[in-house]
Amino acid sequence: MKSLFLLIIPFLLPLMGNDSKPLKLVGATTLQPIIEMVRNDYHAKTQIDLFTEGGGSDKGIHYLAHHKTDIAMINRYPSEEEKKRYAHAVIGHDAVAIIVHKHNPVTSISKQQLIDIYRGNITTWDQLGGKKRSIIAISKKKDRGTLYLFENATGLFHPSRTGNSDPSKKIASAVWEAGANNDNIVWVGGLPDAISYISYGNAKSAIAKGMPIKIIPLDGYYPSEETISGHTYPIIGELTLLYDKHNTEAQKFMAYMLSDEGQKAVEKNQFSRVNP
Amino acid sequence: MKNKNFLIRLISANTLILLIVFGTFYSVFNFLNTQLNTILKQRQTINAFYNISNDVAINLYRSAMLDDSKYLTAAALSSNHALFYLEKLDQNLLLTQTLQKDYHDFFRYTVITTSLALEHRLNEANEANRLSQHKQQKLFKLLRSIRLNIEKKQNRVISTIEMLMFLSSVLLILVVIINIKLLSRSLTLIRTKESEQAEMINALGDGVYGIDDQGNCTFINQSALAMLGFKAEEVLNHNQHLMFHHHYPDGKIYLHTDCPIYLTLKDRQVRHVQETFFRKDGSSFPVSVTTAPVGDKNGIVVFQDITTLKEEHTILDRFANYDNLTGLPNRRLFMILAEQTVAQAERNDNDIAVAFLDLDGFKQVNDTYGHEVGDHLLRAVAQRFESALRKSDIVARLGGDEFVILLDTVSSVEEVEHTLNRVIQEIARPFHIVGFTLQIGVSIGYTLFPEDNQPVATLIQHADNAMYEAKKSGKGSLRRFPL
Repeated sequence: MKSLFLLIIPFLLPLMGNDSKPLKLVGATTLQPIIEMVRNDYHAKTQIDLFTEGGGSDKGIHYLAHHKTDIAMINRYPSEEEKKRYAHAVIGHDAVAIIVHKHNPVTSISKQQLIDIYRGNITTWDQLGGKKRSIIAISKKKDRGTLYLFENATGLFHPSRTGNSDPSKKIASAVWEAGANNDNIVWVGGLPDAISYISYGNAKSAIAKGMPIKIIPLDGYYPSEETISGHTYPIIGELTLLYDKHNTEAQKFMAYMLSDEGQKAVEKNQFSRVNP
Repeated sequence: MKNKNFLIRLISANTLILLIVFGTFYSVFNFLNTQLNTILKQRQTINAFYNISNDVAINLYRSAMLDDSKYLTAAALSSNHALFYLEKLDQNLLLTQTLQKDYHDFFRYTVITTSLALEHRLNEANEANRLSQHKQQKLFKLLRSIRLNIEKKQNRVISTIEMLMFLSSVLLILVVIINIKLLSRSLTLIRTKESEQAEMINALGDGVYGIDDQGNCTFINQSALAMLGFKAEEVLNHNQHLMFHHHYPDGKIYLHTDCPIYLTLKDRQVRHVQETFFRKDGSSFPVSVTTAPVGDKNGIVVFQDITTLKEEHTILDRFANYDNLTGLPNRRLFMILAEQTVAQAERNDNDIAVAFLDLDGFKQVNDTYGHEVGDHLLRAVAQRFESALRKSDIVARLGGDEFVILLDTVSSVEEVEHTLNRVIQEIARPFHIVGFTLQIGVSIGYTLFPEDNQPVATLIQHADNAMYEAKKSGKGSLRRFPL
């Protein structure tokens, strides 16, 4: 099984051997599927290959700062400093959906219950009207954009986040930490006792592919076009691309993403477009 | 009866043993069988879990290799499936908790590896793969050890079942052996008792034989064989009635259906009767027979040869009814016979005569020659009486030198007097007794019936009166009782 991983390499070879310099996008995995969807179309139009890499919003910013990427993909809100330093644009709106296994009898959750789960005060599903089974709570790695959105909405913080020392707000150490959104989705789909928060768009895409997960309303709100655009859903975020102000290729790509074709890809990946 | 009780007790004891022991064995066997089934199911479950865990891994790697997230759904569904089997595993299995944890670890890290590959972070994916491989190996190692444990448990249960079956067969054999021993012992006991009984029956002085419902002889003892002159094999299984009970003593054929032994077989009543049995040589002998029913159909016959008894009876009869000295009937017998004759004469309209006789000169003989000579003389007198009379006439000695005579069916006074005169003449002839010549006479008085229509005692009295008259008129004379 181990050796099978070597077989991945051939998939990457076509990316290397292209004439035009590829455009590299690094950051939130939330945005990754959108970029991958437009890759063929963009190549056809511009002969430019798009190369994406996940790793989280923070990694995208870090790579951008160190010129290791053309564009950083983030799904958290950019900081004031970042806004000043880089050209940036919101290409879509997103929400953080609460997902559980499809067969989990729990049908809704309050923000307080969510907080209690993640700080370890609620550990079994029967406390939420489910079965008497241990909850597997799944959070995000420290550098992930979704975590920032979750932290903002709940007031909780990652256990190793410096500068915040209120222990009652700490995410419990037993909570699993996911990197890519696929981690969250597959874990919740594969483990009937799991709960996670994740990009609404990614969750809907996964559900559309048959992944056995479901989105449950948070504080009575189900993420949707209206609740997101009307800001009634408790955790909403934006899909932002950042790039060096002098990077024209990045600028061109940004323009493409804001065009109807780009926005269609945003929509197709279950996110809300910015210019309806 | 005792044997029946013994058998009932033996059967109950057997039933109890079989119920308790084999009931227990059966329950234990059932329990073990259920356990075995559970183990088999667990084995199947663990195998299914093993295979599906493999599917999870394959789907995740496929997804990573083909850079296609669609296999992730298959991996998640497989994981659901795997956990479903994990739930089915016996929660008492010590390793189940660990197994769940190991599965979670395996799933967690393999998904991370896959996601990293899908994020195109290959170096990190390869790094993560090491960890996920380690977790996978740990899980599969644990699964193999659980499988081994289950197999061991299964083998233990199987060997316990085999042991149990062996034990029950041994026990069954033991029960059979004990039963055979008990039965054979009781049979020996029964046989000993039977042979003792047979010996006792054989040793009895009485003849004993058994008969079945057909009247055939089932056994016969030595005494019976000795009395009847048969050998056992000649009698056994033959009809006893036809063998030695076929005729009445007077020679008439004795019908089988009149036989008291046959009747006892029919009505199951005990009978005591006197019969006549015939020996093999055809001679007969009187027997006293007791017949009794045995069981539901058979019977037993006990008999004694009463020949001696009969003879003794005859002797006793003689003592009671005859005069010891002369052998003539005594007064008792004379009264009986006379009354019968009188009754007969009344019916037949016959005349009879009753005479009273008293010897003349007997006292002088006694006094002169002694009692012994007197006794001899009385015997000689008795013989002369009998020789002078017909067979149908009756002479009896009343005592001393007094006698009575009953003449049956007389036609006239002349005939009576002729006969009685002949008696007087006979007695008047000299007697030669032990060298002496003795001369005596007799005086006779008589009366006729029915002219003298009186009871026998009165008739004797009337004759006595007449004799007294005769004595007065001279010795050796005859007088009729005057009416």
